[in-house]
Amino acid sequence: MFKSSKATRELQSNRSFSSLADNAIFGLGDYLKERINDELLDSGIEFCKELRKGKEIWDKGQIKHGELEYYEKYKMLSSSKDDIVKEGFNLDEVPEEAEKIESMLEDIKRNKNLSYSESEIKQAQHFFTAYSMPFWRDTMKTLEEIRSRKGLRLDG
Amino acid sequence: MEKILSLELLEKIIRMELFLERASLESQEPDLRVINVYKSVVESIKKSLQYPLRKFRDDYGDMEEYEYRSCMKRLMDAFNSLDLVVHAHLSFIHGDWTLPETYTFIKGLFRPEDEISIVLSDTYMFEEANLSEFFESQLYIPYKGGDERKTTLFLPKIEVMNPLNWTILVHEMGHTMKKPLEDIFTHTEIGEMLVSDEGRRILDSWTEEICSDLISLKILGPAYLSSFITFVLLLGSQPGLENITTSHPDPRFRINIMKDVLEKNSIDLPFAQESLFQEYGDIVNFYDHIFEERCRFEQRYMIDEVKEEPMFPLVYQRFRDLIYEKVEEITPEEICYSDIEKDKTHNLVGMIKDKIPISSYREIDQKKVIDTLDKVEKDLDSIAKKDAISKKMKRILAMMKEEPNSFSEIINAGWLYKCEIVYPKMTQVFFVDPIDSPKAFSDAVEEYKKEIVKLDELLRKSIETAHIHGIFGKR
Repeated sequence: MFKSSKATRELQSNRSFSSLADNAIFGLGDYLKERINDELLDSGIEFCKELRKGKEIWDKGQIKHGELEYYEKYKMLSSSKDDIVKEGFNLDEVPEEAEKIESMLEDIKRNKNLSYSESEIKQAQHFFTAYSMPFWRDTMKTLEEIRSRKGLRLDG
Repeated sequence: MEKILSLELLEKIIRMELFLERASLESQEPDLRVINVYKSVVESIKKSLQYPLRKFRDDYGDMEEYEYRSCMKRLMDAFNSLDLVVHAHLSFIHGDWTLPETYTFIKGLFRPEDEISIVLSDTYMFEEANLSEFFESQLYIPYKGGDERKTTLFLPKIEVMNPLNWTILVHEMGHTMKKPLEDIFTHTEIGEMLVSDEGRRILDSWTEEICSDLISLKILGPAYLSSFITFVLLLGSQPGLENITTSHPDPRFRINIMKDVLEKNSIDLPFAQESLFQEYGDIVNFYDHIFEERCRFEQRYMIDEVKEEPMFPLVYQRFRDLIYEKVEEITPEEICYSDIEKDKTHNLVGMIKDKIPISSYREIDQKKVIDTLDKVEKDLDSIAKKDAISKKMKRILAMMKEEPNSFSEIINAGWLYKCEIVYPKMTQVFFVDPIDSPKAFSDAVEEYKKEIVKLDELLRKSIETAHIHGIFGKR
């Protein structure tokens, strides 16, 4: 009973990944109000690292033990490539984009650097939104299936 | 919208905490260890809300679109975690059983000939079933449950103490008293279009839902609609606030038809002049406004495309038109509209504010009583007028006699209290007063918890004593 199914594992993994992006967006919003929250910035750094790792494994075409999770994340993004383009990003350039944002977050965290412009911060927030929405949408679809299996909803 | 949604979500989290606290009181080691795992999960869900709630604060300033979207996502993630992960696994804990007041409420409203049962459910949903029939269909051995209907209503565990949402049980009772619905559609265009069993089944399900809504609306008025909207607000995109399913018409249509019925019958529950939400006019418009805002958010950010089965749009449109025409026809004749007096409801809200159970109400014209007493006093010296005085005294006593409140009056006053007192107070606590540490956030949640417990207790006490008062008053 407690061994999670593939769908449940994916759901949990997608939800956690999407939450990392949300935390990063909260942290960047705080930055615009001149507040620095290390915990939230760390979430953003982790999100970027996982994205970069996913792309690296995807390009190599070989999945080692413990790398499947990253590979599947990138696979999900590549199946939502068009949505990402619509948001103005290019999935092929994700390592560079993610590295740039990761460095910015590290800089803010370590050096308390408050000199980033509002547009730079908003662009970073847009990045996190664009790359996390496919996971969120997938989560919602899975939840819909879970709920429809459970029977009638909205029975109020 | 986001503030009310946050408060509604926090309320569910608090209700879960209260459920677990009561379970702890009944348990010893090692069971307590299990309960503590649940408590720690709920604590994490609660903590995950600190960031979005901070962004919704008045002093946070403007929030741009990405941040707002993430805040709303977090609220939904928190609710889904509470519902699908924690609530769904409450069967591992020995917790509450149904309260006697819940039976009093349902039996008092319907006076059913057969016994009904109310079961607490691990799934966050309200349902009605014939339990015997259910087992008959599920068992692997022959079982005959008998011909009589054994109605069972299912109440989510975290709503066990909350009379404001027992209103949805009234909807579920409505399913047991629906009229034979096939006659309504047989000779209509829509009835002739749907010749397949499946089509008829869908049509019957939709009509039954509307019928149960209307039964609850007639009995409970705006309180039912308020309860319905807050329920769908939290469930949100599952599979969408505006989607039609084979079993249920879309929530917006259900809300609109109920609003229409209330309006046609001049039933409303206006806010007091000094209310924070006075601009919305009345409680139904207030919740409807929040619902529409929530739908707009979904349309803008969450929904890829609206999925509709090919047959739905045309049939559904005709179904909707027909239902508007047949509102009175589809509800049983014996169900009458509740009399909700606006002034009286406001006075009942005042009683809740004063922490007085609203089991009875004395509508008294104080000036009239004092004037009559003055006259009696003047006549006291005259023995000849003894009989007249006695009559006058009886009249004064009659003026002061308390009448038991109906359950509908109690629940409507409860909803109005929630909007006029609880929401503004908690909006101040969570979104205006300083919350600069996790401890301050915890304290704010504790304050909200006290409010919830107080209102629950007062309403439950009101239901029980109104029932007793009703028996003695032969009402």
